[in-house]
Amino acid sequence: MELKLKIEDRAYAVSVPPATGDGPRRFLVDGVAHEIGATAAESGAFTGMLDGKKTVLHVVRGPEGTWVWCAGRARLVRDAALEQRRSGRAGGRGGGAVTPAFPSVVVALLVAAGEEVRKGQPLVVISAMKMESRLVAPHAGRVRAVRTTVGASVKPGDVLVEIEPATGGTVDE
Amino acid sequence: MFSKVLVANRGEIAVRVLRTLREMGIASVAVYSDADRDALHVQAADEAVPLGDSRPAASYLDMAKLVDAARKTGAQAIHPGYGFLSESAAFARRVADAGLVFIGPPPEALARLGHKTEARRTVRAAGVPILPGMDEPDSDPERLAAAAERLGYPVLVKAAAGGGGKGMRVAATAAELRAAAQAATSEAASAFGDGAIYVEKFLARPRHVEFQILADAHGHVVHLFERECSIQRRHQKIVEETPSPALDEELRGRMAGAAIAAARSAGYVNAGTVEFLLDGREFYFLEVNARIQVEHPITELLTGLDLVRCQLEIAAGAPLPFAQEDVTRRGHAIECRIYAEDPSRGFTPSPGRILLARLPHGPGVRCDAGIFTGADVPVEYDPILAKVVAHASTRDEAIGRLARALEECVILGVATPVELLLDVLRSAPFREGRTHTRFLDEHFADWRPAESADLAALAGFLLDREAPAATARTASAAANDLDVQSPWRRLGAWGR
Repeated sequence: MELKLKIEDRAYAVSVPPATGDGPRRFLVDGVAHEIGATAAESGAFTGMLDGKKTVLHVVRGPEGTWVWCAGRARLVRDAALEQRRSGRAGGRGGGAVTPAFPSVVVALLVAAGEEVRKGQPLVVISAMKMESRLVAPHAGRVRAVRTTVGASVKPGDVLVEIEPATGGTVDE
Repeated sequence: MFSKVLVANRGEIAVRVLRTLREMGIASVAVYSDADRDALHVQAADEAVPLGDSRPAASYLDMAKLVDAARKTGAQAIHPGYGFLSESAAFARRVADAGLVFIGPPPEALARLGHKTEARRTVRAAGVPILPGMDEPDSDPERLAAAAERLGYPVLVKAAAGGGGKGMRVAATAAELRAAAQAATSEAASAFGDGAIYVEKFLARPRHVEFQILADAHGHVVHLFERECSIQRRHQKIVEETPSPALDEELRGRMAGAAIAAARSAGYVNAGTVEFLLDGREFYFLEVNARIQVEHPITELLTGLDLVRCQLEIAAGAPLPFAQEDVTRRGHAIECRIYAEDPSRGFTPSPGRILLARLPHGPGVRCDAGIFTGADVPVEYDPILAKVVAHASTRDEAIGRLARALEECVILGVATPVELLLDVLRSAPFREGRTHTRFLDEHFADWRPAESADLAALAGFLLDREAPAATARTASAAANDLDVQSPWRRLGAWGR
């Protein structure tokens, strides 16, 4: 089995040869061999040896990927192939889209449809957990549409403001 | 003593207060917004009153709704927790006007201490050292510049009505001062509805050292020693400990005396915290936090006292049952705050669903939390999820114990700073007690999660993938079913 897994922006090529018995499993990460032998003490909790070192892992699957906890270090492991298929289905978003990086609430709209904006100009003020931040124009242009209202709950992927590029040229993706 | 108390808060602090109410045999009332229908504090109270609308202004900050909830349920007193309305003189007055007891200081003390320049004048008159700075807020750029010139750059521009680091800017030159004053005024105006600012001397590497005090309505004031809270991000504390590695008995005595004098000068009653900046052996009054503090558990572990119980007894009119010489301390206690935020992305918020929560236990470990597996962390409120606290006989032992507890503190589904906190606890400057308020900026500005831990995560992914269905933790109820669930249908997630 060959997998392409991602943690943050780090990609790992993981290969898992078929099991040859009940002993520890061999797997390769970017060509380097490792060995894990573990038992599930309870659902999603694994205890065993990773390359000869005692390791306790807590694993839970979520909508964005598989979360793993190891001695205070949490990692979200994403299947790159799966993500590629998903983003392919969703279709490419226009380069002028303005979307929040985390779930938040819109507290102020700083532009209206039809307005000219310059690159980096603040467009929307969002708030999450008492911290305010500003979404800025990714490039200069004209505001085609404002697709949110003050007080709205928004999440990554929601397009809050659409901007038409200034010179009619193409937008860098 | 009261027979029923309403807790006007949410999250871990509401759960914390509710626990003491239960221990004292006092009936409890929780309040909750739409976003908190399934929250832990709702389940921990004897009864709960809905506040509706999730926006803070229309729920936990809505004085009329809160007073009304207390009246309707027959509660005699309101505990405000921290944040929200805990330091609002208007709320304290309104609660009293409704014939109820506000569990906190009198409104006059809140009003005096809530305004920074007025608080500075009040405590200075009592002989408490304050940072050199302006006595009155001012918006005139010329007068601000003259004051800054007199103090010597760098200076700190602060909001008179401020708190939580909002409206705070450092200026190293006259040109920077103009920009800083403008930014601070507008930030303060939008955050506090009051754009008044002032400047004071900026200290480059002070420690933050605060004293817990208790004052009853009969004129007795005692202190419960200090807490050092120098490790901060965005001017907000993230690691706190007591005793401070920087204090000896002489300095502790001087600072405690100043803290008690500050409390007396403001007519303070109930539990409060007097904050100081410590620079070498010189200390300066910062402000009074007129409420229970987030970091109060370390003082409770050190002294063996229940501060919420003390608050309730004081509010009920009882005299303090002990004198200063009866207050003793044992060992060392350290707390780490676990926020829903991502330390590798500038501590950006990380709301969402907790897919797995397994909180730490064991000798000398306390964990105050407002979460459980399947709980939602709403975007509307403070990001604090839990506080992990360790108590041991020495500082070194407490560090080792807290690190062990953090390793056991499994929180998956949202980003948390647990990994950073572990690295801080194990770092040489922290172990050596060389802490100051710029500690994280100086030592951990470029911090990233350790890549070496990725291998274990990949192994976990593979084990989970190959595990028979019976041993996979699919978190189907937690992760996939996005409908709001009744806590009764969710009971399966409570096996912790």
